[in-house]
Amino acid sequence: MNDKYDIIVIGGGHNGLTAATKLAKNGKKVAVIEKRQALGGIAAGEEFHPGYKSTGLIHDTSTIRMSVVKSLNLKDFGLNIEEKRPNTTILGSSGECIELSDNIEETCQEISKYSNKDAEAYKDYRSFIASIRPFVDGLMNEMPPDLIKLGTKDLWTLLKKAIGLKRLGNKTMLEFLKVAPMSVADFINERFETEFLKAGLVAPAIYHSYTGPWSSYSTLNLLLWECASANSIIGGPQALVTALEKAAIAVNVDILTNCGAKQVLLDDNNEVMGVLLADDKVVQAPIVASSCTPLVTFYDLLKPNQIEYSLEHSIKHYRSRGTAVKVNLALNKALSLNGLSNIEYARTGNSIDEMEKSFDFVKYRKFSVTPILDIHVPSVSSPELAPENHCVVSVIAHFASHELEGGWSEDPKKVFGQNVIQTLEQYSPGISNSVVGMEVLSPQDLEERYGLANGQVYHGEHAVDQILTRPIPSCMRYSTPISGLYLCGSGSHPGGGITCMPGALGSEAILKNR
Amino acid sequence: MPIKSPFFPRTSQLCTSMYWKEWAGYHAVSSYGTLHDVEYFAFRYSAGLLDITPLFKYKITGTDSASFLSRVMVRDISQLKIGRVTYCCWCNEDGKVVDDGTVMRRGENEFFVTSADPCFSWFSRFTRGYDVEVNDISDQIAGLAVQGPTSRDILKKFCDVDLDSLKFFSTTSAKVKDFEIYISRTGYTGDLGYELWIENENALTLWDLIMDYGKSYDLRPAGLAALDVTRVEAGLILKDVDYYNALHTLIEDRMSSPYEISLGWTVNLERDPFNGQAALKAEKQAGSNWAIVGLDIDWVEIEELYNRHGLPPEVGSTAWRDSIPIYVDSSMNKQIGYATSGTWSPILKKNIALATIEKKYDQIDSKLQIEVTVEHKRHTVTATVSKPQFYNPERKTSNPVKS
Repeated sequence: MNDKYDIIVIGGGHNGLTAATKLAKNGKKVAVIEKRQALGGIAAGEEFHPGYKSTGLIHDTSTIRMSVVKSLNLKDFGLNIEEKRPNTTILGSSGECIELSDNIEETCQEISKYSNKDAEAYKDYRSFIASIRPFVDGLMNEMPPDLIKLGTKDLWTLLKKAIGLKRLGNKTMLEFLKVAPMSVADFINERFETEFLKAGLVAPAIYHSYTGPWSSYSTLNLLLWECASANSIIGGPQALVTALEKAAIAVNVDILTNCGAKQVLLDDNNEVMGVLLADDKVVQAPIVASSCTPLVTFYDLLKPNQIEYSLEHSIKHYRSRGTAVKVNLALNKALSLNGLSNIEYARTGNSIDEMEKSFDFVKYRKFSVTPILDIHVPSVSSPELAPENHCVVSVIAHFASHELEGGWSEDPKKVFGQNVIQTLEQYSPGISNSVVGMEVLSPQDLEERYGLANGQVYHGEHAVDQILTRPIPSCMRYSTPISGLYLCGSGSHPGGGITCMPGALGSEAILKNR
Repeated sequence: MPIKSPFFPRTSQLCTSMYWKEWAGYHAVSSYGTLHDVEYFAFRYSAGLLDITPLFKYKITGTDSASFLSRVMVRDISQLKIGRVTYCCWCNEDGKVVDDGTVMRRGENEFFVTSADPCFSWFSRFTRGYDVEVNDISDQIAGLAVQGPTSRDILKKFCDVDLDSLKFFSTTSAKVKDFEIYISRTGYTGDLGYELWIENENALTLWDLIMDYGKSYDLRPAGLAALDVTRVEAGLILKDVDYYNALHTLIEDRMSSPYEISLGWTVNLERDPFNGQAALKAEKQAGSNWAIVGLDIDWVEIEELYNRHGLPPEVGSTAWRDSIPIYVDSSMNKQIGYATSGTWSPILKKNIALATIEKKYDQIDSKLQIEVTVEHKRHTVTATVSKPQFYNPERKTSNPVKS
């Protein structure tokens, strides 16, 4: 470790590593400092019970951007990607199953077991997604234009976006403009009739958001996810982290783990001059890129008098409320869901209204009695994660308030864990008897372990305002009002999930400005 | 319905003129008699007693109170010694003044702040990360100003502290009868004087004591009209008259930086970040657009103007606060500023004003033209630029030599 760098990246998650590697590839001397022993942040695999490992806090690797994978040559570093989204089974509470796959014909056949009308509707739905994808990808994969300076280039970008919208064709354009602000419940109800299928389709719109299916603008969340979800990383998020680490080391990024940042140091002109580490060592750098949440970056890493009130106020009101609990289960046999074994990804929900009722609990600082489950069984494709013939089930369960009434002590965690198992019992009778180990991570645990403010996995909710000017208008292009301080985490455009895009675009912003 | 100060039972008896003003929601005496001049002369030649309860008052406590106030104020309050008082202003993040007032350090971790506008919400914005408590004690504490050459002698009669040693802008607690008061050697008259801070329940007892002991020193209750004359003589600016709270203005043009309102001397620029620091550093480097100056308005020219109309010269007996245009020359073609308050100064025998003018015209002794309306016609007379402080007696800051 040196005591001087061009750039210090705070946080060794997938975005921090992406930013660091991109910067180092451009000749910068870069250090990544990570508080935890393991790299990867929410993408890091963990042994949660002796002999049982998870592959990361979140399951979904389908939104990884191939542009980043290519530009960092991650395949050369062992990343194995299938360029299709993984099969996901939607479970109904009366034993129904629909497997959504990348193959639309096959999926329609699955759906037609329950409704021919829905099978047709699904085909239309997928073709609508396919037609808006180029436009949406354009929005999400580029740096937002500078609306303040509004130079020629920014005007050109805006014009291109407008042309892109028009090029969807009048019918699609108008449909897109109509549905994007709708509630996802209205949007899906307009098209489909089978209740458990509708629930499964809307689910990605509400994951990690303070949003129920009836919340307005929730369709936008769904469309963004549908357009982005196109790949699958073999080995899950941890495999991405492993490749990113190798790529970073190959371009001489100094990676320092067990190395928390205590403070971003500013000089007399309030410009970045380095980082004070947890062990009180100082590392100098004129640029610091933080992949921490905006709240941590501005509230914990800077002294209160170093940020102006208007910035503090915006950050304070940047909505970042955790709504999910992570439950890792170690089972002594394979998991079967609605009679099917070898399911790797599954979703529950049963009906839109049940999901909405489940969401209601967080409004009143409670948690859902019958949570909605986002299920991943990583040991199906990676049997080494569990002892032979055993399995690992990773569940992200919605909804649970980050500010639970009475606090997240052991008791409510136990109760919520039981709620999850009871809910699983509907799909996998007798599962409770095969549970040999269990880890429940409340939003508070997620905050403590990963530094996620309020346990908000996406570093800030996905809501239309927080997508358009993410995280806040004065920081929406990765630079901040503090000279030399940049953001490169999920709190920046295009947001949370495993995309690596905030890291990539954040590093681009740094390279452009200097 | 305006609030009655704890002194109202006394002030209302004494205010035979019925001249009242509204001050921060309180009934405040403008002048006790039909003319304020006796009260003015009390301030300057004996002592005046003024109810200053309507000021907003805050108690700031906690181990970080000094660093908290240093962040809020333009002055480095952490340097303020215990028992000392400082006058300063506080800015928004654009370096524009929000309010001005005094900060007294009563202990390592206890401060007392006065302000003209309510500031609880403003101060509270900045408490995150500081071990500090901001308490609005405005309606628990009453205030009395005893100002004038005999003020020290009056207070010495019933206070148990050594007032002869209490320096200008120092503060102390004192025991009076069976209660405690705080005394600060501060004021708004630019003269020897003290401000007394007291719990509401003891307010009337204190008033009566001062009035009793003050009799033999020609102390008089005085109102805001007399105060206004003294504060213009002393060059002390007034919020909403000589400048505006940046949080209350509708347009940016009405906002002012400390440098533009003669409070540049209160700014400690090179230190830990404070509200408005970056903007103030930039302004310090680039230069300010405006300056507050004093104007000495030529009396002979005024006489001549009135004479032309066959009139004797007229000048208001009280201080005025209208905005009066200031020009480069008598052609009135180029306005370079405006006077914001002014008065005939009985003690200086001068017609004076405070004015905001373009910075490049603020050289001392340079001649400008101020508009004067005589017989419904607008004219100008010469006004000579000076420091805002016209009157500054030695006794204001001195202490008696010990024999």
